[in-house]
Parts: sequence; C-alpha cells; structure tokens
Amino acid sequence: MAGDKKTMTLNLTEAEMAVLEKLSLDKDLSKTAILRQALRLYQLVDNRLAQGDTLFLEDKEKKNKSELMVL
Amino acid sequence: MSDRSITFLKDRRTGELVEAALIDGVSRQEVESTESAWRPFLMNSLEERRRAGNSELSPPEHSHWDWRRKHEAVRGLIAYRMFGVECDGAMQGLMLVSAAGHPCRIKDQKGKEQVYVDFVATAPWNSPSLVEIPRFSLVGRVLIATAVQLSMEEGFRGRIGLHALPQAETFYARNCGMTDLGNDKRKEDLRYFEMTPEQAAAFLR
Amino acid sequence: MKFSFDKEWLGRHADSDQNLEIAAGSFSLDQVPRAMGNPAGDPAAEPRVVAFGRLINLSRRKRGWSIEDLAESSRIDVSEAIRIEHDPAYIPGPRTVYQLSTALDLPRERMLQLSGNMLVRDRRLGEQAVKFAARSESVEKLSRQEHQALEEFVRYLNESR
Repeated sequence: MAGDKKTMTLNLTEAEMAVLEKLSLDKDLSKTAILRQALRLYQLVDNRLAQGDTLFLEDKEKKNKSELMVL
Repeated sequence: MSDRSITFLKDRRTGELVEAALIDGVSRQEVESTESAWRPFLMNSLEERRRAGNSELSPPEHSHWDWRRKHEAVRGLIAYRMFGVECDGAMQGLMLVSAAGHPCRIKDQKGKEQVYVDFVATAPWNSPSLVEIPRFSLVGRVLIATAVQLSMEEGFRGRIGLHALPQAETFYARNCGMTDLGNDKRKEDLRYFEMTPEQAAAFLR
Repeated sequence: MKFSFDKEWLGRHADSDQNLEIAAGSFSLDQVPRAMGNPAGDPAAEPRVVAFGRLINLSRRKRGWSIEDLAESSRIDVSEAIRIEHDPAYIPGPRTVYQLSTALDLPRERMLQLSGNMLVRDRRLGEQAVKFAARSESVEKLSRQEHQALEEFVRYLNESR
C-alpha cells in the first residue's frame, strides 16, 4: 500500500512556494505531506462534484451558505 | 494490495493471548465474507433475546452498518484506509479511517491534521452488550493503536479523532485517554473525542 | 505499511478493556433530518412527540425518580430532561433518546420513532401514541388510570413487529 514510492520534481512559482511553506509551518507538516493532503482532499471534492453534488461553505453563525467557486 | 502485521487478541475462553493478523487494506472479498458471518450471528442473537423475553428489542446501534457499502463508497479514494483484525479464521473487527478532511478541534491543535476514524466495530460475538461471554477482547485497542501509528507515519504525531457511539464513550474517555469535546450537534449528537500527541504517547506506553 | 503491537502492552490492558463497547461512527438508522422531523411542519407527528414526553414522565415517576434522578441516570442535562417532559414541540437528539431508553429500559428503535428522530414504519405506533397521550394526565402521583395506560403502552412498544 504505502510501499512503492515514485519521485517527482515540482516546478512552482514563488507565490505557490510561499503558500506551500506557510501551510507547512501552520500544519506542522513537511511540504511533501502538505501536497499529499492536498491531493487527497482534491480527489474527495472532485469525486463528489463528479457525482453531481455541489460544494458549499457554511459560515460559523450558520446564517449563510455560499457556493464555493469551483473552476 | 494489502499488508498483514502480527498482533494479538485475548481469547476469553482460555484467557490467553492469541496471535491475530492486522490487515491494512481489507479486500472486497474479505468484507463480503465478514458481512456473511457477522449478520446472521447478529440476527440470531437478537431473535434469541426476543424469545427469552428480553425487553431490549432494538439492535445494537451499529447493526445496520453495511461494510460492503462503505468499502464500495471509498474505493479508489486515497484519503481512506480500511483495516481489519483477523483471528481464528474470521474477521474480529473492522475500521475505516480518513487521513484528510477532518482537521483537529482541540484548541491547542486546531486546524492540524489527524487520522479520523469514520467507523470502527468489533464482531457481534465480541460485543459485551450482545453476548454473555464475548469471544475475543482487545479488538478496539488494536485498531485504535493502528490509527495512532498511522497518524504518526503520516506526520500527524499520533493525533486521531472520532465520534463514539454512546456505549463506547467510556472506552475512549477512560481506556484510551482521549479528550472529550462533548456532543456534536452536527453528527447526530454523538460525543466527539480527540487525541493529542501527548495522549497518543501515553496510550502506547 | 507495517504495524507493531507489543504483546505485553496488550496483555496489560486486556482486563480493563473487556466488557466495554468500542464502536464509533454514526447511528445507522434511517433518520429524518431534524428540520424535516419538526412537528410544526408535520401535524401527524405531534401526538407522537407528546406521547414521548409523557412516556418519559410516567416511566420516571413509576420508578419514584425526580427529574434530577432521571437526568443523572441518563447522563443528560436537567434542563433538557425538563424540556422533554414539558415542551411538546421539543425533539431531543438521538443520543439523548438512546440514553433515556437505556435508563428507563424502553425499546430504543421505537423510542427513536416516537421522539421524531426516525421515520415511523408502523402506522399503529401513531394510533397507540395518541391513545396513550389522551389517557395520561400529569398529576403528582401515578393514578391507577395512568398506571394502566403506561403498562399497556409499554407492552405494545415491546411487542415484536
């Protein structure tokens, strides 16, 4: 399962790298782990969208639900 | 694509620890045979209790869980992992976890990643509320220890979270030493528990 | 990934773990979303929810328990226990219903249906609930009529379907 790992080289812009570094710091995770989480979440969201669901965000006070702008 | 690791369960008939297998990546076939073993036993137990005049006719709160459906629902999704504990030729427990999408809620670790236990259950013949003498114990501990180890492997430092069914609250609060964050209105009022890295280390000691 | 389990560690904790349930996840029952279960939106649900509160009240008093006793035995808030018994529009959450069922030794699934948490599969439940609600009045001591009404209703709930 977690066995065989493949290596990949990433080319990121400065802004993208800055985001990756900040997330890595905030979440106390390596940059690789952050990207792994991102991939997992992206697949989950994509999977639901493909089934026809819509992605919503609900604000804290539960007053407004707004549709997440998905490309 | 599954891995097996050696673990142990306590055989209540002999009082001895016996070798069991922790399966990382339960196959569809394994889930099917688990359901075909668990369901009839559950139904028979309930029927027996009813005949014996036991007033508690409601099935255990998770008896409608269909592990085949769960397995199918998460097929191919890398965020999910399904684990099983096999002993004496049968599946003794199952657990489905997510490694993404459930950030921590405890103030000191808010927003950090954790392994979230979506579902965990022991076989009906191991359930103390269903049978007089459960067959095996330690299933829960083995599976929670698995979730904690996975969390460490992922870099989440052992953080895990879950919503306990009411009868299991004591196990998670006392035996696993998790933090109780109270009833979650957004999840059927179930009690939400979370483990910090310190609690994870204490748990495994 | 390989996992490791210390045999000695497991053996050490076996005794304190045994006889404890460990399930986590969600209630598996077909649940009516709370918004849809609101009796204000479903006139047919109202007598059932009233019957639920009355059932809790009578079952508690039959045992000679105060509301505080009930709250303690079921591990729920006293304020919620009061609401359940006195507010006919209040629908408690599934966990609360579960805890009350256990404390009062009443069938869980029927209680979830009665309380508005679960789809009612049995039309008779509604009829029986109305009958029970009508026959039971709230006075301090359980009158003979209340006693009888309670016995019959509980007997019905425990019947196999």
